[in-house]
Amino acid sequence: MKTTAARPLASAWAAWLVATGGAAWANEPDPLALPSAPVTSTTQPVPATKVLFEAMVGRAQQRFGLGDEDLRRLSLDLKWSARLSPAWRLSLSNRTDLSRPVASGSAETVNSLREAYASWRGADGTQGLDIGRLNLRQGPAYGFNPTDFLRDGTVRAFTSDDPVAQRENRLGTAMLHWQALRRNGAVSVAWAPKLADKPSRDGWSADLGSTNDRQRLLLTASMRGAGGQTAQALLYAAEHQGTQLGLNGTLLLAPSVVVHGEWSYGRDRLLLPAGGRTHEQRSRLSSGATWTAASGLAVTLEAQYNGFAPTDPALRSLLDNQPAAWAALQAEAQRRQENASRRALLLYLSQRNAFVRQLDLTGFLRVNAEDHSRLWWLEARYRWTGFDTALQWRMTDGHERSEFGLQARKQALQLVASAYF
Amino acid sequence: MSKTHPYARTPLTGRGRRRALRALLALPVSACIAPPALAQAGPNPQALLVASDAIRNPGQPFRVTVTLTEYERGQQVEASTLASYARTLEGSGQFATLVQFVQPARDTGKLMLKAGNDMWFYDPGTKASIRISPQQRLLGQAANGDIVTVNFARDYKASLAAEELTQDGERKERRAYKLALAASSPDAAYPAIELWVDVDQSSPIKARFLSDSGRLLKTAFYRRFENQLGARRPTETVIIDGLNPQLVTIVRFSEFAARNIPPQWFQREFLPRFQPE
Repeated sequence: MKTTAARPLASAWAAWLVATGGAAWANEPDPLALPSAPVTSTTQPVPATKVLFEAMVGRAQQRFGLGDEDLRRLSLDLKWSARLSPAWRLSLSNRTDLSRPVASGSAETVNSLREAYASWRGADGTQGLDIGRLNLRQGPAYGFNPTDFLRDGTVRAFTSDDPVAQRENRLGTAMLHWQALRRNGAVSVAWAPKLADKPSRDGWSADLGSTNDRQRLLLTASMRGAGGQTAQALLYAAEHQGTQLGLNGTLLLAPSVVVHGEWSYGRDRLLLPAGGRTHEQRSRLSSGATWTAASGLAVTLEAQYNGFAPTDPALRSLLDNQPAAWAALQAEAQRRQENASRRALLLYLSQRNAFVRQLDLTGFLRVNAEDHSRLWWLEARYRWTGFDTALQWRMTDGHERSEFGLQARKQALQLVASAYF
Repeated sequence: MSKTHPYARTPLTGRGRRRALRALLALPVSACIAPPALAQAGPNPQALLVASDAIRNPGQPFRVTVTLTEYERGQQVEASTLASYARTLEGSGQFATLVQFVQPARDTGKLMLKAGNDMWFYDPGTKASIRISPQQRLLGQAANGDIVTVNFARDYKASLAAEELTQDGERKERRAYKLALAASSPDAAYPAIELWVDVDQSSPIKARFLSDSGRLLKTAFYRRFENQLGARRPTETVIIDGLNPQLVTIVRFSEFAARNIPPQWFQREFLPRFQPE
């Protein structure tokens, strides 16, 4: 009885399954019937002018009973290039940031003339010459680049803690730069003359004193191994500073793992004079790996070493005895685009199309490995057509005598809107 | 449980069954007439793969406009336009590709370089070249390997799996050799590929890209054949995700043009100096 009673029920269930399954299949769009988007010609050069307009509102919570503060920023970012002839091209890149509250020692409106240069290219593109202010960036590391020798003094307006954003905002150096490409490598020479004595605090200054306050020379030789390894050797000499040697390289360890490393050694100014000495011969190192999951999540872990930064006991002693000097050291490390601590770690994560399409998540954690204080940063960015909206959160934590634990700004939440033209 | 998309199947239809039956009936006769060596000789699968590559990819250095249209459940969710420059490199014989992002505006001017397993992403905004792995995705659901030019014959060893009827990207039945490709080079983007090529013209019809475990990663249909740079080549690839067949990417190739592209372009150091021709 039970069996016969169950039979019509099973039949009805099967019929429902077939019906709903069939309906679902009928509703599924046919992949082979979908049209391609209209073709946009790319035979013309890409637009010569690129404009980014960005607006930010936010609120920060501060330590030491300083209360909360409102954050505001407007930024206009312009890039333009023009081909003068088949061989010559002019490039201009400028950014203006209007920020509140005004950072100490800065202006409310800060203009950064990042690049203004003419470049010549040989007929086959294997030789090139650049004259003017240009951003010559070296090194494959994410957060700390010991072989990026022209990095110091290049960021006028700190609008983000994200190292990627800081690179975007930095000034180029006025120089004469020649490069020759070979089949599996390249050589280059850059000479940057002294053009000013000291940095300018004027918000509208070209500020050549930040990037060209001494004569500098940079030689590079790059090569690519048969197994896909890349390596670059650099020799850098700066007036009143000394000579440094640099090496950097990358390697694909597995289809989802890339390893990178940078090392430099030579004479440079110490962040904190020791035993009456202001300059010494020391090393800097930054090494890490990026792993990409099948979902597209990219995770980078990087270990950083700065031989020119003081150890934790030296920093604590400075803080106890000369707090103003400690604050100046932190500012100098930021100006030089390097870590104020001897050892540090960076964890950087990014996921394109996270959970929903067009939503990108980026985050990083910077750890001062000497005093174990931390800087956390997270961004959720949604890409619309022609503009983005992003929510950014930043937090510092650590004990009261640590690098990040002493920052007045404990945490901040910012809403950023960016329009691209 | 692995899920196979209906378009990835290759059923023997009624007409196919009749042809197969005729072939079976003719077998004893042909076996008696043909010498033994000829009876066993079949098409050379590696040669078929080389011929198929020569149809997919021009032999000389070239540029092409690539339009990517991404769909989810039949709705267009993203579109990108790229300019691609490709040439074979001496030594490896494999293609190297330099891709410039043209649209959308937020990505204009960014570059991706692939030379063997050496892949770089360059952002003119940061002037930073970041080395990326083949697994990293720069464009929605499309893998980087989907937009660069690749000669399968350089990275895979082919064997003949079957001769059968299959449905092409325009839903026409085609008589095809089914080739089983096994990765033979560390540069191979996939462990294994099943590739169907036309019996008469060796033109590619479709491919199934498989993981180490044999799971279907994606299915690609090669279609819209047009005369471009001296041969009749596919100008559109429909890529259907293996896990979720509702994720579809249409890769359209247009504005083919031969270009004298020096091999020196295909290295990280050239990226800041790139100017579109």
